[in-house]
Amino acid sequence: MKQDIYDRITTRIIDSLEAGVRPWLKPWNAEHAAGKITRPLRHNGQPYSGINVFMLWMEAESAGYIAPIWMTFRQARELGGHVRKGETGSLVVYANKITRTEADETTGEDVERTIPFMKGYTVFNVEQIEALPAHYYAAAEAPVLDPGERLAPVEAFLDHTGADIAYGGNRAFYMPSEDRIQMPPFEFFRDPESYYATLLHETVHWTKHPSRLDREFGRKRWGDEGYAMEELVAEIGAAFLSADLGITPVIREDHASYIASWLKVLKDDKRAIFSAAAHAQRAATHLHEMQPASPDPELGDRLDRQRAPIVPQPS
Amino acid sequence: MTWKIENHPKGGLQIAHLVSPRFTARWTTGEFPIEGVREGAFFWTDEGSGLDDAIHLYDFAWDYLVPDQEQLSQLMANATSEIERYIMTGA
Repeated sequence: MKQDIYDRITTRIIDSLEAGVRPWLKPWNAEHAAGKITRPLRHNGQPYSGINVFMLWMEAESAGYIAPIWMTFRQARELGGHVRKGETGSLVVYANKITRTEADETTGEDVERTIPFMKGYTVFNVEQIEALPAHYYAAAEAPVLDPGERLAPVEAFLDHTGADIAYGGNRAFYMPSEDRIQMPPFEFFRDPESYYATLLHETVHWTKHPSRLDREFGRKRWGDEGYAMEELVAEIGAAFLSADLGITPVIREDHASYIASWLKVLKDDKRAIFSAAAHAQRAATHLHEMQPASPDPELGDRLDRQRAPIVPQPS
Repeated sequence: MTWKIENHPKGGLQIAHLVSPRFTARWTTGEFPIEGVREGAFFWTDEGSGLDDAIHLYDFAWDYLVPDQEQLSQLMANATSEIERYIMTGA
């Protein structure tokens, strides 16, 4: 029997986690003109979101693609290109809904019912496609920013959230009862990127507060499924934000124990990873929406580049 | 507007080309819907990248003349691209 989409994707992610690899940590050495670190992009420059982000990161990692741009067979054809013979596409998913008119069981009157569904489609990396316009294959220029300049926009991004952050101790965590993030001092981290990646992780937890996204998975103790699910959301959300802000995520020291707890959640519920990715996307979007209309030019440039079409859309 | 995708009176969806050469056709994806074909003997399958990706057009109704082969290929490519856009965006 053909596997459904939930099974296919969850199985792939479980395989990756069982091999000790977190599939949402993208290949950070990308050197394409679209950006050294970026979410996967559609043919028109629009970034993918949710689970499609790390599905395509995972594909790029295993196949060694540097370019972050993906398109369907037909989009390639519209742009004058063609998928190389023998190339295999990658699965991405989209959520959609259909509206059906049905007779109401009690009144007999026609009522419209909206039925949500998820469907998969196949995309190819531009490195699998020949004869596209040259800019799809463009290599990046050498970076011009030093690390300090690069991280200043991240600091500004976090400032604009207004999160209450306290410093001290040697553990990073979010305390819901106080609605406060607790961080070790900056100097305790091995480098600035580790500090910001950890702070982004805790800031995703911060979005769960009832006054923000009101995210609650039930049980909260270490080792239970609600805890593992919230950690998964924070982990994936931080990976999305890291990509948006151009910083390298850190591998936490409790790597193995977290992976074991996530594996349990994923094996028990084949839809859990879709839900986690959707919550992570919602958290990232919520934090982006807290930014001022005219953000720091460097950050604005990076985000605009992700939103802006690379080429005009075919009519 | 050049293309319109809407419900077909006999069920499922159809695509309409609203400028010359005007036509309507039912469409579906995946396996060819041999049991559902009702009109004529002209079908068009765009295989895309594989079976799951295939788009089939059938039950064509041409408003005037069927275009020549070269025009037809381009027209069908445009139609299937439009259908793919519809599938992926829901609009």
